[in-house]
Amino acid sequence: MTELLRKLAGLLRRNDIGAGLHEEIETHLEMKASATSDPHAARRQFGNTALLLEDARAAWGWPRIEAWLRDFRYAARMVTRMPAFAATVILTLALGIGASSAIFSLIDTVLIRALPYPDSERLMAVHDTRLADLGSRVPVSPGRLEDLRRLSRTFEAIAGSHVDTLTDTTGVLPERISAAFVSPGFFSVLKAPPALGRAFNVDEERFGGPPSIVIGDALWRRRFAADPGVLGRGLTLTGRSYTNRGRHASSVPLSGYFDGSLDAETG
Amino acid sequence: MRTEIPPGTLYMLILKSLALLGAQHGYGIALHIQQVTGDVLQVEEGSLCPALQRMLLKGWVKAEWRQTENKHRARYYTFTPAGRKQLVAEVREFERAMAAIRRVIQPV
Repeated sequence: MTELLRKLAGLLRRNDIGAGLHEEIETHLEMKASATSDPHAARRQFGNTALLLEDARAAWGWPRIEAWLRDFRYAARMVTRMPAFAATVILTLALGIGASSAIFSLIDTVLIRALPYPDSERLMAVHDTRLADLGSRVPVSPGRLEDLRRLSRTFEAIAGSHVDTLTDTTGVLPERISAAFVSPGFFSVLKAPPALGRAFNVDEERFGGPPSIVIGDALWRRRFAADPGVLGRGLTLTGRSYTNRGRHASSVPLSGYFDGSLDAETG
Repeated sequence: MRTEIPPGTLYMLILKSLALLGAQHGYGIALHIQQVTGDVLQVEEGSLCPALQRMLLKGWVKAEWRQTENKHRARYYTFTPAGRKQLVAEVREFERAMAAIRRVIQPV
């Protein structure tokens, strides 16, 4: 630490240090030369005075930083000398880095990072498929979903959703929103209860029950200015009145894609 | 025949010389080492001068300008308490290493 302080102090009087070293080395040389019979031989044997001075001064320097600054100056000179070449290189690097980081962030979100639900490693997506084309994914019909839920012994619980685009005519101007129609128990399967309000109750989940919606975080901020008093307010979506029961937690990615979740039986 | 200073021993040689000589300039230190070792060890200026600067930075030696007998201005080095501690530590470490090496190369 004190060594660093001494070095920093040396920075302020670097010219003094250089001059001092020069004098010291000259004196050294003269003393050595006068001690021998052949002053020229002594001088020869002494070697390169400039190099010696350089080496002695290096002790006070910051070799890494100085080398870095030299490289930087050199790079700047080269850029100004060959602007077209430099632009090509910079553009190539920028596109290369940009493309790789874009692809990585996609892979990170889709494949690597866990879903932000508790016990997300136990969440599975279930699809129907056609026997003729096993890679295909066919939507699961509500009746089939109910069969799956009833007959499955593999899963703790099963819920489904169906995303649709609706027209919100509650305000002065209509707005297109995307909403997920969800089956009973949807929030408990994800273990992600609404951040505000509550999930749908048994009454609302039943066919013909009161039309209800849980709005997404983005819609809540955009449309209701993050007003905590939105519970129980009505929303008119595609000509039908829904009552707001809650708001998704902002961390739940659903709210990024959907503006709200509706109880399925109303759709 | 001259022998190179064994790596890592230069600080120790300089500090020990200063311990014996009191305040001394670079040339005096080099001369001392050369004479004491009977011309076997020759300290090159190319390593002595930078080493003294590094020792100044580490706080092992102090330097002040003084007049030599020949009316030159020279920088005289003296060692500090930190330098004395360093000397003791380096001598101990060196002797440990030498003893170990001797055990390896001695005829059994």
